[in-house]
Amino acid sequence: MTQCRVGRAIVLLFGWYVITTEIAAQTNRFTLVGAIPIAAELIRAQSDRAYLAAAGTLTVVDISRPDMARSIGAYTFPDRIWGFRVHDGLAYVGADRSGLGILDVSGNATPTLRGSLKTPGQAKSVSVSGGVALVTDTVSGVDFVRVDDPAKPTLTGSGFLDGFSTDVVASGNVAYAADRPTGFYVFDLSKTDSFEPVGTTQSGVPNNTQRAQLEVLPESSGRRVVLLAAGGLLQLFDVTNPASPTLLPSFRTPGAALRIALRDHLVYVADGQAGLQVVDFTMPANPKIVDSFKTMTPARDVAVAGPLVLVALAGGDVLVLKEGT
Amino acid sequence: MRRVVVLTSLALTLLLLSHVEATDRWPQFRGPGAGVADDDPALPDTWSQTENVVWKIEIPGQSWSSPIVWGDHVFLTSAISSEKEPSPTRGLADPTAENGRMRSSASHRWMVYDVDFNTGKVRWEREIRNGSPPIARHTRNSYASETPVTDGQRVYVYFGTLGLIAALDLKGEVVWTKDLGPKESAQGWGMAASPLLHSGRIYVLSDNGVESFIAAFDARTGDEIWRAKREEFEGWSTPVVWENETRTEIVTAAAGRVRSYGVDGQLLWELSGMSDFGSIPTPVVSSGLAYISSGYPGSARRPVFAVRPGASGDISLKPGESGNQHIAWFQPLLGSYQTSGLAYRGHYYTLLDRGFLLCHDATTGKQVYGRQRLDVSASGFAASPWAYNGKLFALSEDGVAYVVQAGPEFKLLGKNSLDEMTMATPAIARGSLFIRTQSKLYRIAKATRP
Repeated sequence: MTQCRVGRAIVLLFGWYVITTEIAAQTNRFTLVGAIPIAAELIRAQSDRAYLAAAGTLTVVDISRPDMARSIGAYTFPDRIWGFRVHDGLAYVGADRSGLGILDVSGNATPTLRGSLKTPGQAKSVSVSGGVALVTDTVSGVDFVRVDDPAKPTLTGSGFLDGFSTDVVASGNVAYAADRPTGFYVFDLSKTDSFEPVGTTQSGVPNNTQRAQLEVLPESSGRRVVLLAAGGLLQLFDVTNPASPTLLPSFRTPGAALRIALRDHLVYVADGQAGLQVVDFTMPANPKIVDSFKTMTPARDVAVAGPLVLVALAGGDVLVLKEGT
Repeated sequence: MRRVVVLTSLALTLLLLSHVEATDRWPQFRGPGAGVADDDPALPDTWSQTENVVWKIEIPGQSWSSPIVWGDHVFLTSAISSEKEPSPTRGLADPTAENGRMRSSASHRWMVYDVDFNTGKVRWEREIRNGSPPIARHTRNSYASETPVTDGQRVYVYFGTLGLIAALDLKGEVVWTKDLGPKESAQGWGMAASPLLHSGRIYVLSDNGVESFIAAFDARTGDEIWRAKREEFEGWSTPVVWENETRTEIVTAAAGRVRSYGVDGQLLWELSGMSDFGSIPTPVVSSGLAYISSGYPGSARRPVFAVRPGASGDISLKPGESGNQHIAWFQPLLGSYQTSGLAYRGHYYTLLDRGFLLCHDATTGKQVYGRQRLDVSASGFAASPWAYNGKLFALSEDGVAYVVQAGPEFKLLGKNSLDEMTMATPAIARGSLFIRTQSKLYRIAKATRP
């Protein structure tokens, strides 16, 4: 028990050290308003909830009081969580050999498993659109899973990716997937008779991370652009014509561009050693870094919820920043 | 005079002992026909854990080496741990933080078995060595993944984990051993390349992180005949002997370069452009071409090359080339990672690790049909495909064999499950199919012989 108290004291002191040093490093635009003392490899946020994943555990945190963030509960899968997305109170989790897991993360209760589906290989990430969960899997590519009834997810088909599939994101009737080393694929979700990509291209830069992330920028002037953060350059694909995705010039951030979060055309980049970078992609051909926040340890993921920006740091803790003065 | 008679008698005896019809033997990894067996109406199309099973026996330990057959002898190897080892996961693994590497400190016994073809009874078993494995391995690999070879007089086993070659006579007595020393692979994923046997010589390829080499040994004595150093630092591809119209050569596939050596160890030709990661598929020699492939999914290069005989020097393709004087055809993204190609009746088949079959014209490389998924629920494929009686067979890691009609039209004819993981490539001889699963060896043949 004594050892436990000593340990807690050390943790608190360390947390205080981190917080004070972060305050010293912050810019005018961000205010550090709290810290969540839970290690997170991945983080997502919606309204007053943050979702943190580390190893096989997904933890739901109440951030309605950012200065007093509170864990609501956690669920642990037998295998590592490689990626997840939250949709309508459900967390769709890519849990390695455990496949797709669907957690009920609504309300104030501990997350519970609503349903699961073992995919053939390692489930990596999930995106949901129109009652279909798209699951990237190292063996099958992208699995199309009906999730109208979350308790009974049903595999309807798979689309093949040449390399190691890493992430998928759905937007309306279209989904975009990426693999390692360089593949980028477009799927037409309105097709029910084919699960093959309708368009594909190769990026010029190898994707070297197992947790690459795709996000779709808001359409601008009829032009649709998808961003890929894969541990190096931020890669951009013009997908205005789904059958013919085109690689646009990449954007180099100061750091490693590990993960991203979007607020309209602002892209928040967990930039590794370079901390948090904010890049304005209003003009995808000419993105600009508009702000940054130095972190003492590498930033490995980022999420935005309302005015809050959450930054998961390597080695533990999630910083809660408030944007604006 | 008496000496001549004795010698003649001895020679005749040896000849009789070693005389086995070609269809009665499957003496090496993938057999004499690179996975293609002679047609035989006795060979099965359907089976299960009980249907068309002549016998099945438990094989202790963990090993992904293939069985081999010579007459009434079915040989296989295993590595038996004194402790429970982690069970291998099914399906292609994207390396995790541990990179898939594991090390066992448990004592192991490296074994050779001779199983009676007719009864399935173990005729003899021989422990070659025991102790802790000196090197690490991938969780999906085993410490006895190399398939033995036989000439009907001796069976030769190579345990890459130990760096040990052993020759045993057909009674299970060790004739000689050659200790080459264990060598850790660069990533600690272990060894798997099987030895070759040709014209009285054993060839061993060891691409490792210490001192890579290919070497030839006298099959009678184990004496080293020659050794050539190599630059590769890991690889699991079994080389192949290519007897072509110009010469006999040993073709090796590797991440850095494909290299072909003369039987004297001299480098004949080399070729760049393989996946930038260790190679696993064994080259395929068929109809005057050598098909060489590699296809690590995380590599931007996943080629299949069809090489003509008689090459010399560096025959690498220049950017934009799809062939040259020595390369009949080239497909940049066709290669599979673990399974070897299959050339059968004018077509070249590729079984992707993730359960797709593709067909190309074997001569021109033109696509006959593109990716055809065998089963969306299959967890992966590591065993190399085989063919007979106008059918192709693809054995999944789930122990399910998919039967596909050979030819230009893809048609899945059926599937046969043994309901246990396997990564070993089967053997075929005397109208029987030998499938090794994680714990068993099956002899499968039609119950009603035609």
